[in-house]
This record gives sequence, structure tokens and C-alpha cells, in this order.
Amino acid sequence: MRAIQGACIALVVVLAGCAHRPAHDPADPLESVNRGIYAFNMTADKYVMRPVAQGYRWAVPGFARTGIKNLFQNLGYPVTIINQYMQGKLADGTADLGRFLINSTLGIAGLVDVAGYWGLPAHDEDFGQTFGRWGVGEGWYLMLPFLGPSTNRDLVGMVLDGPLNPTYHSENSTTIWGLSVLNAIQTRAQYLNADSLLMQQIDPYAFMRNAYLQRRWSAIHDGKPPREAEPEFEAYDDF
Amino acid sequence: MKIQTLAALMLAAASISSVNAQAPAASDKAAMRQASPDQVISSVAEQLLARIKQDREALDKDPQRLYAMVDEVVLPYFDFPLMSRLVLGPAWDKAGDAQQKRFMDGFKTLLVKTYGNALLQYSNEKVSFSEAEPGSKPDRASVASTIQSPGADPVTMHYRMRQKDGRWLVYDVVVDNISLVTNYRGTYASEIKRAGLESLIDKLEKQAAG
Repeated sequence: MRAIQGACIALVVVLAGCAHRPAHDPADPLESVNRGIYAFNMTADKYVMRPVAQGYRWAVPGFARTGIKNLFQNLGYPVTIINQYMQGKLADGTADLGRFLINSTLGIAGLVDVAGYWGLPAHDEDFGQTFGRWGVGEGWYLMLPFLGPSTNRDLVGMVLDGPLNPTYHSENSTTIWGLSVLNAIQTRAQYLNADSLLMQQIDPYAFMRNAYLQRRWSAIHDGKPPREAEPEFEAYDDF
Repeated sequence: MKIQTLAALMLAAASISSVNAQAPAASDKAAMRQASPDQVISSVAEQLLARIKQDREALDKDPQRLYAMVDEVVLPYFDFPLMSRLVLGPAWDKAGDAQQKRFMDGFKTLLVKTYGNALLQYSNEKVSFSEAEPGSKPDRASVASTIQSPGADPVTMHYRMRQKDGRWLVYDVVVDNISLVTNYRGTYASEIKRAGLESLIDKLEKQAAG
């Protein structure tokens, strides 16, 4: 495991040479492979993930789904805390640490977002965003089997995020699998409302690619991306 | 067959009138001139929710009715010519008048369908609006709206607006930090690069009809 992580860091150093590219002009040299995987993912989604997620939304009442969502958000929160610090955001990191401690205890292992009611909002940071903050470009766009869109940079980030999730260290493989499956279902259920938007596109693959890259670019800048990232668009924005 | 043609024509007429004609009555028009960006957004949202509540079953069953409703309630507040220009980017200038018009019609129909279908997904969500934030120029503003559904993270939408002849019109919708104009622009640019504008318009028209 350590060797893999070492290799990842080395890869990041190599990737640091890649510049950021605007979402409307992505680097996608593996497009034909990616499109194949995308088609596979969409088929798996149509026959398995989507119906299961719809069933979940139908069968589980809203308050319980909110609790389950909170639980997984809390389990993933060490990733956010560490990456806040790695990005030099000390105040945010400490607020997030407080949030994690409050929700893990008073919030019954994260089921209830007590800290949220007290005015400590949830953040979302990960290694991919930290590398982006450090100036590492996204590299190539990737479509991963089952996991969906990513980039070279975010894939490396994901491998480093994994061990920070407490679930990862469970000895019980039934627990790990059970939680992973439940998390996949509840995450998919959150995106059900977006399906019709994707399905109405003339090229859903390109639409998803663009949405993913825009969202990541915005996340790296905590929701306030610099607009000069798209000089061409700016020229046309001058109406 | 004849009835279907007639219905299609009426729908087309309705959509043309809602884009080109100004607001129906002079008093309404004056009222809309006064309306601030956030008033425009929240009043359209209220109207939409009321219509869906009242007519849900019929709208679920009959997509044409749904699209006509979106056309009537939402479209007058969108700046379609501007959106089309932003979405096509440099390709807009190179396109002929006929191509521009065909693109605009196809794109509009597609957006109405997309918006209508997305709308039906929502039922128990809590929607809140915040005050308009000023944009980079005096005639620009952005209104944020947050949709909270059970079991999901809140989704923030930003309506980017500009003032045209005194009225505030939407030219971009940013969902969860994803700008739809940028997204359509990227997707369409790849298609234009791959097969040309004519092919893009054909695809749009096919999708809009299907």
C-alpha cells in the first residue's frame, strides 16, 4: 500500500507539469476508450444502479435518507479536514475538525448534522482539490468503470483519500462491502433528478465531461473560480 | 393527423408570440419594468409551482401540455437570442441568418423539454431565494436559489440575468457551479469541430422533434 502511495506522489510531481485546461476544451486523448467505458457504465446504470436507487428513494423515508447521507458525509470528513490544512486553510480546517467531533458524538456517529444546525456548514475537500490548489493540472479526462468521471489528478487523489476513511480500516469485510454498496446507492439516488438533463443532450458523454470538469474547477476554488479561465468565453460575454 | 398538425401549429404560434411579443397588458408590462431580478425569479417560480400543483396529473400524462406551460410561464423571462449567441460562441458569427434561426429554434425547444422534465422530478423540495447580487456591470445581476430535497445535499442554482429594455431576463442558469451555457457551449463546440455546424443543427432538430 505504501508503495502505491509513494508512486502516486511521484506521479503528482510529474503531473505538476500539466497546465489547467478550460472545461470547454478538455484534454481527452483516451476519448474512444472513455466512450466505451461510458457506454458500459450507462448500461449498468440503466439495469442496476438506477432502478435500485429509485427503489431506495421510494422505500426509505426522507428523514432516514438524510440521516444516511449525513452518516457517509461524516465518515468521509477526515479527508476534508486534512485537505483543508494541506491547502493552508487553518480556520476552515479547525472548524471542520470541530464539526466532525460534534457530529460523531452528539450527532450519533454522524446521523444527525448537529454542527450544521449550530452554524458550522459542511465543506468538501479532497486530495484532488489540494493538488489543483497547488497548481497541478487535471491531466487527462478519464472515465472509470463503475466509478464514473475522473482525471489523472483526481484518480491519484482518490487513491490517497481512501485510507483516511475509517471504513477502510475495518477488519470486517462484510461491513466494508455493506457500507460501500449503501453509499453507492444513496449517492446515485441524490443524482436521480439530474437524469433527465443528461438524457436530453445530443452528446451525453461530452455533457458529463464538461459538467465534471467545471464542477472540479469550481470546487478547487471553493465555489469562486476565476473567470479568466475562459478568455474566449469572456470575449463573447461582453454584450 | 389534421388535429395534430393544428396542435403543433398552435404550439409554434404560442412559442413565437411568447418570445417576440412583449408582456400581455400595458399595466403588467409596467409592473415588470419595476420588478427587481429577485422578484422576477421568485414570481416565476411561484407561478410554476402553483401550475404544477393544480395540474400535476395532466402535465405528467401529456408532455405537450407541460412544454406549452413552460413556454408560457418561463420563456418570456429568458433572453434566447443572447443565450444562443453565447452557446455558439465564434460559430454564431460565421453562421448565416437561416442557420442562426434554425439553431435558436432547436435549442429553445430542447431547453423547454429539458426544463419541463426536470420540473416534474420535484415534489417535496424546499425552495428558497436570496436577494440579487450585482454583476460585473450595472445591467447584470445574479439571483441564487437553493433547493433542499430530503436525503440530498442542497443544490444551489444561480440565475444570471441582464437588463434589456428595462426588463430583467435570464441568460444563464448555473446549477451547483455548473454553468449550463458553458456546458452546452463545450458540447456543441466539439460537435462543430467534428462534423460542422450544419450537423449540429440537424442533431438538435432531431432531438427536439423526438
